[in-house]
Amino acid sequence: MMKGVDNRRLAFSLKWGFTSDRIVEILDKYRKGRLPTEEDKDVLKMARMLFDMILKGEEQANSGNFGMNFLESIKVYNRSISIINTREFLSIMSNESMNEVIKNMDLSFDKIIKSEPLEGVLNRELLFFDLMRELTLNETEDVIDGFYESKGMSKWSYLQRNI
Amino acid sequence: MVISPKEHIEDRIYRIQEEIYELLAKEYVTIEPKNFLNSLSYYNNKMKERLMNVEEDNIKSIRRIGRLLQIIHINLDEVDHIKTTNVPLELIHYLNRILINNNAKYSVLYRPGTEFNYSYWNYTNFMRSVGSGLGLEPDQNLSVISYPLCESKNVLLNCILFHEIAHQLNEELNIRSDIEKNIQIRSEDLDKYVDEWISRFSEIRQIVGEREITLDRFFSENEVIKSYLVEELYEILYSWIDEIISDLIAFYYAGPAFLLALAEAAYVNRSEIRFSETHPPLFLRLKAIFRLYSKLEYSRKLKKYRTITKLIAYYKNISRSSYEKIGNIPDKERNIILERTVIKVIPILISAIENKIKLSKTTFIKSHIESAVNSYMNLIPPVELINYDLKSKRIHDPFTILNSAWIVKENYKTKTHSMFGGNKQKARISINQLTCKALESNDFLYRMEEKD
Repeated sequence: MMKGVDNRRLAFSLKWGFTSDRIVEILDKYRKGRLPTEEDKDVLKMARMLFDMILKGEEQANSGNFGMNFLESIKVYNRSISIINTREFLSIMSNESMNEVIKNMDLSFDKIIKSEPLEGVLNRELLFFDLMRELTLNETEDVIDGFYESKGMSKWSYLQRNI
Repeated sequence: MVISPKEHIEDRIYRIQEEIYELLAKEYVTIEPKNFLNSLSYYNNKMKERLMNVEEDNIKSIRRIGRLLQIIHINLDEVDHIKTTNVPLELIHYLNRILINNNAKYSVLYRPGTEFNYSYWNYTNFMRSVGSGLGLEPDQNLSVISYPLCESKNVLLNCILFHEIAHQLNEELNIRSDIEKNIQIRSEDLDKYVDEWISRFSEIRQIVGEREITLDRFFSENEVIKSYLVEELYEILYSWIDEIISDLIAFYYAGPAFLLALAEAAYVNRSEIRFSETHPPLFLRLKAIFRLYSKLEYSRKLKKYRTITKLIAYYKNISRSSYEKIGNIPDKERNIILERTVIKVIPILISAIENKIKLSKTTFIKSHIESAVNSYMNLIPPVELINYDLKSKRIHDPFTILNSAWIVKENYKTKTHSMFGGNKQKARISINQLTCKALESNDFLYRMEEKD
């Protein structure tokens, strides 16, 4: 259907896109007082898996040790950098590092799965996955519409440095 | 809201299902198209269930469902092109035998494509990945191979299909995934590449409001740029290595017949140095194949056929090209890194393949090739050895049939053309028909043997 790399990008963006859609739906209901079902908990476990991969990706990027199956970890790590560096996300961050943000979000999910009481209203978790939905949807659309090659560089101009 | 996206997508699901029913009512020469349609129907219905759980104003979720439906739709369109007359049955029986001999669990759907291209798509792996986001398990093991519609009966060019099924073997036997630890970009090369990008970003600028800003300001640390570049490089690298593995496996199974088919199709389509994210440049693919070509001593085996030898020497010359030798090309640094990493790993790929795939009846036996060539030159399908000794093996295997066909096509071009009054097309069609007949007979005899 599509070419090798495109298929991988498409499979990746749809996988984490559908996962993020479902996580947002579950968190939204949770905030309205509906406790997660067993099926919902399986989806939330996917979120924890994602956080684990992000942390592994960060470690691999910093150390330069690329072990087996590292590519997906690097990919989710790169997406999470893009999300955390958005103005929306930065505006609700305290003085934590990215690593701490991911670990704290992971802790929230762990508590929801274990039905333990939670502090806060999950704004950050909701925003993270909502931005992940947006990002993956854009990537899916780019591949399907065949715009991947452009990489959005056309709006930049390459000039002699004079600042 | 005047427009209801949810209703629109619901209608789309309904229409896709109608189309699936229509396509299921058709007859196909193999069982795979119907299996594929049933699987698409399964995912279409799952999308319907998913849609029912989505709120009307949840536009992102609705759009994503719409995108998956688009993928299902593209595939329906391609199944629509399958007819009993445009499936290369004469070759796919043998290709399926190779898969079965290697204990492959997947079945393959062969379909003519609208693009002038050969391609492989692991449908199940794709759906497994997508489905994991939806809590779905794939319903069957299926991959899809496409070939150009107008070449469906060009059995000589279709030797490229050996490369496509090799993708299946690569995935099922975990050839690339088991040697990933050996696929490493040199850290000096990577660091240099990252530094070049950082310097390039500092020269790329845009006016935002009234301020001029440079692109490097978007990256707080160099490590961040590095991880983006690592993703880009390895994504391309893995695709290239998958292609090289498939070329090498195909060369093991089809020998020079594959080399000649690939080189002819690829060289006509694009420059030998052209960069693509999905496929290594032709010179690099040939470099890997020629490594195996030497190992299997084909120069000695083909020495007798001078025109073929000259043609192969021409392709060998292409394989000597390198991104390191070429002057100004876009992204030269990246291309050099990829080339170096691939070249380093070729010997490891060859030994990994030799350890994992099962090879039989893929030996270039000069007397058999000669006998098959003689059959062709007498317009007899090369099914059996001419003047055979009753005690010895007498049926030609597909490897011999295909390689002798290429030898006749290229080495005895003038002679075969003159046999048909100078009509090149007639000569080409005749070689093609004789090859198809020989392969069909071979398959028949193989089945009879199996039955006994």
